Amino acid sequence: MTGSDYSRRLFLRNAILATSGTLLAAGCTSAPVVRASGADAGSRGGGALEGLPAIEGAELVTDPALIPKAFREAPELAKLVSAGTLPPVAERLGSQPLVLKPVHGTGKYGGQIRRGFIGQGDFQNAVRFCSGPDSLLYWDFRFEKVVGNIARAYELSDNDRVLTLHLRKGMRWSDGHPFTADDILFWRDDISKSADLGSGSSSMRSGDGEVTVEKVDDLTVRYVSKVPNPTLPERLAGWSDLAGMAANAHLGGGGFLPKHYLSQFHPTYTSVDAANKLAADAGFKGWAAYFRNRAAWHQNPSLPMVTPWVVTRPINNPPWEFGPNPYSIWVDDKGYQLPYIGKITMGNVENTEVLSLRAASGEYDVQDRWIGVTNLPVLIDNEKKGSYKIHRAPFTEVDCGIRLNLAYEDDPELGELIRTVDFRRALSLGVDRGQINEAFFLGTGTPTATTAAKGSIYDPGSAWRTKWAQHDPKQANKLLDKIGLTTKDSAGYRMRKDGAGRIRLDYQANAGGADFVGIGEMVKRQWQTIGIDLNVQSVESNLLIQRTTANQLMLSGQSVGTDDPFLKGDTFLPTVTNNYPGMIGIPYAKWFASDGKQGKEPPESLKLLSDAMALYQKGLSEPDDAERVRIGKKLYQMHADQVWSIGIVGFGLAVNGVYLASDRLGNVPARVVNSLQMKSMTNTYPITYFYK
Amino acid sequence: MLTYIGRRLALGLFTVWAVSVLSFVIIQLPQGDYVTTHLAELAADGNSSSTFEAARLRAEYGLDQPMFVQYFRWIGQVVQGDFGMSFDWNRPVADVIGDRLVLSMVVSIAAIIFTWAVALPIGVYSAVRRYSVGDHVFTFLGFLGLAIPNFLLALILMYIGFAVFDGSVGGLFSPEYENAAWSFAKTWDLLKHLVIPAIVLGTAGTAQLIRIMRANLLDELRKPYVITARAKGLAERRVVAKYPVRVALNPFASSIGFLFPQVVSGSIVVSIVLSLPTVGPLLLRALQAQDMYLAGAIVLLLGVMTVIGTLVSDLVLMWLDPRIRHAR
Repeated sequence: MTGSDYSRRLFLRNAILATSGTLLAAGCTSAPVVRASGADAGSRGGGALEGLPAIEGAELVTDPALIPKAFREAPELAKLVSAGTLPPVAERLGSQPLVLKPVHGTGKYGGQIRRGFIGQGDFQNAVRFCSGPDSLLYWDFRFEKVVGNIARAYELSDNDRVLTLHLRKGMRWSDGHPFTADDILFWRDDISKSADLGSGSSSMRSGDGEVTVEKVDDLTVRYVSKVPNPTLPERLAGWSDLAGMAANAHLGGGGFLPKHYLSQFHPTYTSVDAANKLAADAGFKGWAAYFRNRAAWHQNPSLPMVTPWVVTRPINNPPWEFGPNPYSIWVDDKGYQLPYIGKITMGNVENTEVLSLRAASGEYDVQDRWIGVTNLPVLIDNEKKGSYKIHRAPFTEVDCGIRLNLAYEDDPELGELIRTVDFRRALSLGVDRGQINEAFFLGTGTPTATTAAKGSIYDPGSAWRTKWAQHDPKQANKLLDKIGLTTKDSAGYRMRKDGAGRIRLDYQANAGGADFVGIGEMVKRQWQTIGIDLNVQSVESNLLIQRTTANQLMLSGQSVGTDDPFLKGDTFLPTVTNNYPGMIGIPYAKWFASDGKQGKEPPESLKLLSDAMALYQKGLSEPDDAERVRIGKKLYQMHADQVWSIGIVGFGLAVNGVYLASDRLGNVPARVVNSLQMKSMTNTYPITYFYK
Repeated sequence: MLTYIGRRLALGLFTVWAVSVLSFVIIQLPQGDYVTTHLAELAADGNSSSTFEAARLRAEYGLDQPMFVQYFRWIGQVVQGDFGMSFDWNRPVADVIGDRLVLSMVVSIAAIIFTWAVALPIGVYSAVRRYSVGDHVFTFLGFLGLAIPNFLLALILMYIGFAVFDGSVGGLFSPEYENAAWSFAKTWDLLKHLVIPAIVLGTAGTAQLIRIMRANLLDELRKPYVITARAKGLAERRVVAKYPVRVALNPFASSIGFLFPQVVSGSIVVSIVLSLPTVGPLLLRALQAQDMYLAGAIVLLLGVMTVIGTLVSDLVLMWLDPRIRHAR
């Protein structure tokens, strides 16, 4: 096979994906138009569509009077108990199980859930569905407060410098071994801090120092920070490298690991030679690679977990299958051990269009990932035929925006322009957000600047959603004239000051979540009216990363994280130094991360960005919640006012915003918060699903 | 004779070696490597821990070494029968390919059977009834099959299967059989799923085969032995089937060589569109993710298949045609 043959095939593939999307859309007749009209108030989860049901979910039961005294289990587990291969259910649960009141009622045991995933890169598919979640702490279903999860309870003390976690008495790993404080310390001391395995864990840094983890007794752990660290519980609950084994253990994160099992692969507990030999026998190069593989939930069925389901057949030998964890700590309010449905089968699908079509024909019992908003009409059209129901969960962030590289330097004049606030404001005013919302999001999003969703505790107010974000070419042209870009060529484009042709910006993106390349083409046309030329390029995600880290990217289309400024600052402020989300300014991120030892200081024109970073740092260690929220609002105001990124459409359905569930399933919430921090759709609590 | 085969074998080995070098180099030509793919996937899921050690992973995978070092490490293993571990799958490459090889062969062989079953009778008919309405209709249909891109036909058939027949869409098995032991029901399920891929893959090759068959047969039909046979009063059916058709089939022998690699991966685009668990999508994904060991092994396998196929078809031709046999 030759190189050109390969690229031809790639081209064909792109053509297929494009065509098949059109075909699916054309296949339906009366496409119901879903329209957004602002957002409703309600929980912190924010954005909403008109007529959507209220957010609901399983309630955590902590009142001792309501905790069930007797427990029951699935018939297949009861069989193992009577055969003597498994201890009785009460013994397996321990004395402090996690009690949930299912959203609609008590279910019954049996059945299996069928889902689809799209290959090895999609390992988060299960994390975001059936991992429990397995984080030490978690959010309540309203996304309002952090509650106990794998750890029973927590408290912050000593001016938020000390976090104490209380573990569950008698809790066990899925192989029956007790779960104790040692499993948390094992992770912290032998993995997180190991040069060969650790992720460095930025979440375990506070102020200038590392957070130390201390064992008080078998069931109590203290996290001690040097400065107030009020967001540590939120990091343990949400989407950080501390928040659960299922998502993070193979990357060196997790927050805890089964010491009794994994220590056999760790040189500290054997020897480098022994660990290397085990790895070589299994075909791996070096013990670290093998350790990572052994710590991966999706790849290693013999890994002890605390997730409600354990992997029975790994992702790399599809179908990917899950069975019930006999030691699951979850029970319902009647004392039935969860999950009700013991088996999950995920089929490997080679492309998302087949997955959508399969979903539409009712071949999946639950599907949320990869059934994008563009297929919504087809999916709704086939609800009856496929015997399922479509649910909508608007996103808590900006679905689609243009990220700007504020540190761009390859072309000094364009770099200067990007660092000029009036130029950025003009670009933002030149975007017709309504048109993009209709064309690419079927009107399901909300046109917005980069800011928080309505209802978010950090929402600075609706005025900021339209700040420099109304389509106003006249005002935009005025701003551009003001900064001296007055000379135009015969086609009406503004000329560069150095005389080398028009001002031509580069926009590079790849599809994913939404058609960001198509959106770029539309913006290109819209910016004609303000005399700014845009060069739109479709680029592989690999290349985006390379160009980001080399500081060569100028503009790019993607979602912008506006969920929580302190938990998810990656795309919002220069905080990421080595990956695509950090394209807002890699050299600046390096400068802030190293306290000025590396990278580059933002110039005078971006002084406010430095101020925002100082505020961000202050907020991270601000023990007063009200003050922290005020700082968060201030950060969103500054971002919207300074247009550090051009928010376009937000709080819509483009990112995991559509989920489908079979009519036969009970306890499926009509709507949930759609947030990365909630590991959505884990917060639909699939452990409480059951077949009616 | 033996020297001829020996020379062909030596040339074949050289070709396979050249394929291995080229594939290894070409796979790594695009920007980035498997580690950036991994980073991209993490970023797509909101996982952008800024301290994630890309350099450490690169060293672990040996991606920080010069390309020739990487190549010799890899080929050294391959010669010993170890294709290495796929980065992406975290499984030995041989297992990953092995899973899909059989199903790839099933799909391709079904397509080949479909092609031959349709094309040969039509080719014969078109030659015997040249310029008849039937000839024109079949020729038209054949060219239509050639002209319609495979992926489009696949999409249309898939949509029809979904909208009209309510069938399981894409793949080779319904979800309930995917992991089941082989049984009559599972085989029947597989056969049902094979219909669309066989038609899609088959129609593309049909037109070509019809034309070859038709032209070959027309040449034969003019020859004196056919006239003699007719003059002797043999039934028309027997005249055609017994002699000229058999002679006209000869050129197909020489195309066996191309069938070998096709059996392994003749269906990349269609397999992706229809989500068939064959080697094709595996190769594409391996190339995109720059999973070199996996992609390299598949390309190498295709190279070996082509070389073996060519050798076999040379031998068959030699056996059929004395002129080739004695030329060397």
